[in-house]
Amino acid sequence: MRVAINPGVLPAIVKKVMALFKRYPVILVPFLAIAIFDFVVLMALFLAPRPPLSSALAPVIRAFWGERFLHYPVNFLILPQLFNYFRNAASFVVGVVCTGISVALIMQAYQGVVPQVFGGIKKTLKRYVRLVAVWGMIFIVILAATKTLGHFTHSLHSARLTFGLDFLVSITVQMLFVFAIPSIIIENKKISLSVVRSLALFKNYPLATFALVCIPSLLFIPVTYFHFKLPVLMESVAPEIVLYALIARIAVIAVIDLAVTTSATVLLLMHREKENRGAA
Amino acid sequence: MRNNRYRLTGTLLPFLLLFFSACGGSYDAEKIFWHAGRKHAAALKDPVQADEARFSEAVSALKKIVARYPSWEDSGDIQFLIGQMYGMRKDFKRAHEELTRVVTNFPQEHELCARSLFGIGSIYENQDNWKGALAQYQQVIDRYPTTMTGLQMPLYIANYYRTHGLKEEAARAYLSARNNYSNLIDINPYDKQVPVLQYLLIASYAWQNQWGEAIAALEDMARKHPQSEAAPAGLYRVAMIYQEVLKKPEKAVAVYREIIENYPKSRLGKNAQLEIGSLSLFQGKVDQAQVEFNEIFQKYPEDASLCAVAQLAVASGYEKAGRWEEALKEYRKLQSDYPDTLEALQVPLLIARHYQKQNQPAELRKVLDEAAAHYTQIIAKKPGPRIEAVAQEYLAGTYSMQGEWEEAIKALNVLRTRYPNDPRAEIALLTMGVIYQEELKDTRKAAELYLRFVQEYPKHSMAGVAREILKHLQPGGRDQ
Repeated sequence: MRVAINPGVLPAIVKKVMALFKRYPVILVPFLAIAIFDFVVLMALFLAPRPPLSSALAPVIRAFWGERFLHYPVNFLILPQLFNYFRNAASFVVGVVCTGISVALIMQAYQGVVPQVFGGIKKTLKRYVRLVAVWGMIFIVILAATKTLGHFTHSLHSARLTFGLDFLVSITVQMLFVFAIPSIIIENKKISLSVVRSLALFKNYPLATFALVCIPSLLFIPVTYFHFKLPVLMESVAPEIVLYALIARIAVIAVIDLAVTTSATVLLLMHREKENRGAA
Repeated sequence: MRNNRYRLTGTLLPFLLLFFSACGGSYDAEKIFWHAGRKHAAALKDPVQADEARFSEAVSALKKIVARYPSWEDSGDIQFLIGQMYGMRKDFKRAHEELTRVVTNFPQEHELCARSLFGIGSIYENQDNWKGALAQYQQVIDRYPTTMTGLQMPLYIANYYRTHGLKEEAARAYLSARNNYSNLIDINPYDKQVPVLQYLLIASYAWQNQWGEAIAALEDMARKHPQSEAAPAGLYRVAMIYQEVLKKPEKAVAVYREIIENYPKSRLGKNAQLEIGSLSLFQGKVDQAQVEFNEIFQKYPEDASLCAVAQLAVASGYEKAGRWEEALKEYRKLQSDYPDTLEALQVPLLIARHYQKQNQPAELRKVLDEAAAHYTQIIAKKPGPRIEAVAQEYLAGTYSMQGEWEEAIKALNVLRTRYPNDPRAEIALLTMGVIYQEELKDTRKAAELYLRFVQEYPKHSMAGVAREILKHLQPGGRDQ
């Protein structure tokens, strides 16, 4: 069934999302959990050169990067890279589960039911394999696209331009697949059908999807700009600036995830309502 | 409400415990020392020029670190540094006190204690109190006889007398130093310090220009301990004296032959044959050198790395003599006979450099293409991290010779990420900076890489150069 493009859909989504947050703050819990998890991972990596964590983490750092990265202040040079590795790996468990739970909570809240975290966990775990598959697919598509682009941008010798192009690629891929995870949780779709559903929704709401993915993601630009400045700031301010920059990054990513996931889920639910009305 | 508070405390407690249990120890000491170094950089770099207040602040910061982290491995060095700083400002009383603290508070660090006692002796020397200085130097010899400072002390004392025109005292002191070194070798001719002792023994003769006596002493030592490493090592030094100091290559060759005959399987025996070949090369006798190097191939065919060195010497000998066809043949032989050696790895680049020197661009292009393919193939075979890292470095070198700067940077990046513990990875970072600065004219990226280099390897011998370049690097790169 073809649903007409509604230009007023974006304000409606924002209004609905704000109302849901106000009425059911529990929706924030999964995003807070991801942020806390990321923070704990970051602190563990920050404390890696020191006992008791050094007994577990120092041999890994020593083997892959060298002894010097276990000493102050050189350990801060590698902290962002280490954090990215651990975070990417952990996101396949913590990120997937928390996102699934958040979609389930938003759905309950949208339907006017008091959101139940345990109900959300149950629902997510049942669909975990499909969620991981879609999550992995998005991850691989973004990685492959940025790597391919890297071959062409390498000769530009501009980290800023490369970041800009990577950012655009990442936004585009997210726009295409942003509804896949909500449709698995809400509509219990299979992997391929969830992807088809996501593409169809993007086709129906291109501007709204662009806005709901792109606007929150813009927050990432100042964080990345700051990240580029880190080596110089390490010299002029203090090496610890890296740690604070990564904490800020965690907070920004949590806000972006919250905004994108919530608004995409609400858009899907609104669209389903329309579909149901149309069917009736 | 109270339950919630308990729950929150219960959740946070493990993290807080983890955090605070991780505080303290050497990492924190490193951190405080780094910040103190930055805050008081000027006073630490030049304590003489620093005003009293700044100097006191710097010393006080260092003292706090030593007091707070006495068991940190660098605390002794910092205590020594405090003493040195007072010494440089000619505050000898405080310098004496601080250096004495090294000896009393860090008795397990023998080398540092010896250096501190030597420092105290130098203070006496500065005050024209040789008697006081000598007492300290004698303490170094008595208490820390096997430290590097302790070993050098007898020679230092003798040199003092010589430079002050006290001939008789100097002669006695040199004799005493020689006896000291000879005795130490005689006590344990198998000790790992024997090469240092032999060096000091030769130096004790050299200062008096007594090369003949030095040779006699070393030969005597070889006769006394024929089974120890000291014997071939001593004879090797005799040959080197003939070769480098007395300029008697034929005598040197005779001694090398004696080593080969008596110690054919020892490392020095093998090296002696290499030296004979190299001497012939140095004298321009390429064919004679070839004969000498052939001895190595016949006698030690199992020692691939030695044979590779010899083969490389043969090839480069022909090249230097202008006999390129023969040189090329020998280079190819090196590649085919000893493919897994570091010497064989150099061959493609050596051939390329020849064509570059000869200004033969067509040949050069062909050889460089072959070299790139060769190194890529070697890396793909995964012969081990050491060979792979070298091949990766040579691959970057090949691309640089081709002017393929992007590829060179990629190769250097791979070297850094795949072999981060290899010393070549350190220089790779600097090389990338140079390529960006000189070839790609991207000063911003170059500055980033130089900064990364000084941050990652602050103690590297090239860190100072990188800091200087950073200071003078003008903006204006493509990203500006």
